[in-house]
Amino acid sequence: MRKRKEQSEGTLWTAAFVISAVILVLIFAATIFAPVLAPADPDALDLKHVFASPSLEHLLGTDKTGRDIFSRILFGGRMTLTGAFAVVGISMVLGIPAGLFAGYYGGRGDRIMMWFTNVVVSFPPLLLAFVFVAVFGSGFSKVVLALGIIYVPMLARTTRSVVLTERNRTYVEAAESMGYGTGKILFGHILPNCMPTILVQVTLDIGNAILDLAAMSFLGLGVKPPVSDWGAMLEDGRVYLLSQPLQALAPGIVIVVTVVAINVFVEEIRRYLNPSERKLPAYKTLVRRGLISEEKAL
Amino acid sequence: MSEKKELLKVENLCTDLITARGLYHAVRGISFQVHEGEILGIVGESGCGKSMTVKSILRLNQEDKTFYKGKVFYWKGTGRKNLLELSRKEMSRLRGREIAMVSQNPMAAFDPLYTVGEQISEMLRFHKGMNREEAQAETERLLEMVGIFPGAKRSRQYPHEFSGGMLQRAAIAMMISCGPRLLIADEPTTALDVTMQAQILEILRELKEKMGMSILLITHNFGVVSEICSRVCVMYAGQVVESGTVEEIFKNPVHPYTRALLRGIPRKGREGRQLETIPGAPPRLNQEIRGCGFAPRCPLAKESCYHKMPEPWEAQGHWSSCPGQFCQVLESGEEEEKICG
Repeated sequence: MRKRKEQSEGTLWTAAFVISAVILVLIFAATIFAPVLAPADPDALDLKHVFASPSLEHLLGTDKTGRDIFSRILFGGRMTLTGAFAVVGISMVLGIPAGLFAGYYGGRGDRIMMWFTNVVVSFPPLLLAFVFVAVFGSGFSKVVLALGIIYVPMLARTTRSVVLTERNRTYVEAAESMGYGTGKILFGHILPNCMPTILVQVTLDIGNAILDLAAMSFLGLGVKPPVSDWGAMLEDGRVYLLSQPLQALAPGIVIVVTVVAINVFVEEIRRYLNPSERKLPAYKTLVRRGLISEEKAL
Repeated sequence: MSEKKELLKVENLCTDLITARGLYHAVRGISFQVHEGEILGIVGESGCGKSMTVKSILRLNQEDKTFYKGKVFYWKGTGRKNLLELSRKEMSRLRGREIAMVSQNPMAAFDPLYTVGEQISEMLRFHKGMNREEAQAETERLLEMVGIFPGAKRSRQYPHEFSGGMLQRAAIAMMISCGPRLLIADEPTTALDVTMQAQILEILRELKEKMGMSILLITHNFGVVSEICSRVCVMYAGQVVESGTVEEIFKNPVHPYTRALLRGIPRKGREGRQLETIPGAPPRLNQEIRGCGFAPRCPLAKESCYHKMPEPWEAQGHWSSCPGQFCQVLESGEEEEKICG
């Protein structure tokens, strides 16, 4: 059964997919098992060894108060990754249904939503986050909630725009002529067809969320010292970029690798979601399975 | 004619669409009936309101932008219902189960993300409450019935792996899966080559003969009509201008528009002669049409035609909105010639 399916449907297991998946699994495992893996207490000050160079004792050196950078990256990933995924999760849960209904039904609800969206989008997100924090108080979870809500309008808008084009496609009319209900058409047919575009927006949002969370931490509104997060470490190290580049580079590279891996991973899934874009198994695999005979092929 | 039971009766149906440029009178008082177990053809140029008529029967137009007038009766059990008065829920219960529609563009009628089999099974599970295995088995049977072999393998393929003709047949399989009593086929052969056309028509004919299904066939192709229809309505500018049995209409067309259309078909024995076209274009439907809509293009038009509709002509089930040449001296025996579409 499994084998037959792959033959006609193409494969999800491309090299890009496997590599990005392995990288993501390693990063997640490293942050989850940080207490076991970290060679030092991420918050322990050691003022005798500030700005130490990389060594066996401190793999990536130490920062201005002698804390082990490697350990801080491991622990920092917990805050950064949960924060970023929570922000995107909140925006998806609220934004996608809002966009679906607005795009499908149109009318007054749509106009109100678009008006609200335009207002929210016209402010810098961080400014809105400040307002939110000013009203509800600071703290990591509140900042995450604030950013999540601020990301909603953009995602709802993206969803709505795809729904508007999908709604007029013939298969939707065909589904209506088959007597399917609105819910079935909306979530069973329109949403899956909108997913590729929505996923692109979501991956962009994950990268942005990491940076926005970092900015909030830098301003002292997100994670509170001494707790680390990648963005906060990046900001800390920025001051010493010329003398101690590793302080900023190490968390920076980790952020880049994570975001790129997520992008590639989602891109491969997006491709697989569209049956006509699926990658075929490698030519050699097809020959090995006897689907293509090499003498006959040119 | 009248001894057959009526299944669908459209009475004076008007459909007005709200557009940015004002009200658009897409269907302007159309009436016809479909009897049980017959194929009724609706013929007309593009833009004359054919598709709008069937969309109105199933009420598939955007509801807040459409006005309907008139009646659409559908016989179910002993009683009849006016489809235009049903609640939205009752209407969607009829769609697919009682009245199914095969749309113009089969390539686009399938959701590209699901296999063809999944989509046919979905319909069976939704309407007939079948479980996965039953639905899959029935799907394979249906696909093979419309000539897609082997059903098991093909059902696991995606729409983009099918050819246009196969998709059209698969679409028919999907639409008849729940055993509707009326199948509306909206230009089912337009996008297909001649061989494929013949196969689709053969399938439709079989459905009528073996399953007793009534079919409402929309087309602009007189050849298709002469092939399988028992009766035919000719539409012009949102109205029926002539209706009757296929033989009557072909042998003895009365309305000037029908006559002009038939003269525009290539015929055997007249090769090399230029085909006649109808000068002018159909009237714009966003304004009120006074008198006969065809008058500006009609060779027989009189002064009065521009102000009021002529008296309809009727004889033995053959009806025409205009007496046409019966006002004039009879033309030569041209209309006796046989059509080969």
